Amino acid sequence: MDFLLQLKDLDRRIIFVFIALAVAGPMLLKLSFPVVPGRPVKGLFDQLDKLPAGTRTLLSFDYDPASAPELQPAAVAVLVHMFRCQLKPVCMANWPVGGDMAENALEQALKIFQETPDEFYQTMGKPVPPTKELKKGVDYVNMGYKPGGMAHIKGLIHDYLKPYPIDKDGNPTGDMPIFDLGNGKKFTLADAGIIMSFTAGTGGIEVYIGLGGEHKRPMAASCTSVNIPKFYTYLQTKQLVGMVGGLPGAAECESIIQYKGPAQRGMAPQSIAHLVIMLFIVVGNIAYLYELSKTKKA
Amino acid sequence: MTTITVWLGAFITLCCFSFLYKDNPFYRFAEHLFVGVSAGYLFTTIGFHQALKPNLLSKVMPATFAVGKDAFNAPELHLLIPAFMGILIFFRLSPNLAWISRYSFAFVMGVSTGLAIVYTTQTSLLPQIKKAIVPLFVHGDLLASLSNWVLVIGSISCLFFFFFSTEHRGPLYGTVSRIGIWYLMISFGAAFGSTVMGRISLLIGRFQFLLGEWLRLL
Repeated sequence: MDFLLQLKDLDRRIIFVFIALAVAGPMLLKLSFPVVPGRPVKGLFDQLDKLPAGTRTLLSFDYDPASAPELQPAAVAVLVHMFRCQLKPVCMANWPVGGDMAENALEQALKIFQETPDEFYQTMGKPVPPTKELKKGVDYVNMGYKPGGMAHIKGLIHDYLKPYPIDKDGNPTGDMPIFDLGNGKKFTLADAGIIMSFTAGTGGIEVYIGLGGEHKRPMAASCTSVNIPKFYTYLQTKQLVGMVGGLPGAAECESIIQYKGPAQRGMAPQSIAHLVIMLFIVVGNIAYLYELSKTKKA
Repeated sequence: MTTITVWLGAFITLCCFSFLYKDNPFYRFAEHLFVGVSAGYLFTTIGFHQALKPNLLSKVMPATFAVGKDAFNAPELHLLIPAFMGILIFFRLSPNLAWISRYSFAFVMGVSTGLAIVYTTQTSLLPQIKKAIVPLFVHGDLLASLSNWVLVIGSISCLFFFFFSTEHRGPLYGTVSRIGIWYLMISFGAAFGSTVMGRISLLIGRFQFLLGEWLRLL
């Protein structure tokens, strides 16, 4: 039983090796676990399905490469679904590198959208999009980053294009067809069918929720795993119509759009790594209790 | 991605991972490189091209910096006031003149605090309180009734725990605050679990890059 006491002083590098094996092993063995979409993710996709074709949607990319493994797969999946539903995503960022994250997600989503066969739409009961060659400024746009957080978003409620005279690539936004509402009115935040933020920390969906009373639009969030417990409260109060939580949430999104991407492929390593961590916690506690009982006897 | 960028990315990733063994020059190189590249990219590509140029220069000097029909707009000279206040912040760099920057910071603090207090109360605090006022017996739905009991007991007991004017003792106060501790422990457990899940997800992302894009084993 003294083996248990030795475990208490286990070199942390041995634990790192176990975790690395738990992650790399299932990847190399190509293990695959089933992914079943939960209510928060279904809520988001149900809301997107309700929007009529041509609706502008606002996607805020509030993260950087440090959180990309968790949030980027969800962003790609949501964009693909929007393109398939003929929605028009308007991408923006409250985080400095968010514009680049949006650009990368758009590039991947367009590729998946173009590769979607027409049979897919028939089996899903959706109309086949008239074209697969979507144009920037017409079918989607990337506005890039703007500083200011809450003060900036408040300005967008009355005139979206005022802080955005140009998009991320430097093209003037005033003449872009995506912002032409057809009634001569200025495009505002209230014209978006849904507001969704891919949130890694501060300056994300909570800013939009904070101003929810003014723009009165349905909102959804995709957040890092660390933020899941916090954001569940917004689901409970129905301030969010849907939520994508971390990599498992992104895997659920990929499952809905029937695309086996990095999130779905990551579920087997995720589960095995969790089992290894649980094992270490249990063994560590047994060792602690054994040591305690030994000390009491002495 | 080109072969060079993939190899460079793999090298930097391995440099960062090397810290798991112990601190070493490769890790420090990656750390300093990250700080330097981030600062340069933020100030030039993002700060100038996505904020300063479209939101200040193209509006103050539209003929020179604006594009499209905005180039014919009249200059918005009132924007020089916030620009001036922004310049004042640079006085932080001088120990003797740092006090000048406080005027700008005071403005930023005032606006941010005002907005945050109003909107947090209106859209976070009040909806949460409203949602915590629920019927304890839902007719024909035992699960909903149980869920509401858990919610109400949890809300009250946690609030009791954070009331520090009286010692956490006695049959009522001591018991309720102890229940509050249990609720908090469960929430900490959920937070810990989520954090572990997040960190493993990030590791999976890096391994997918190393084993897939770099070594092409996947």
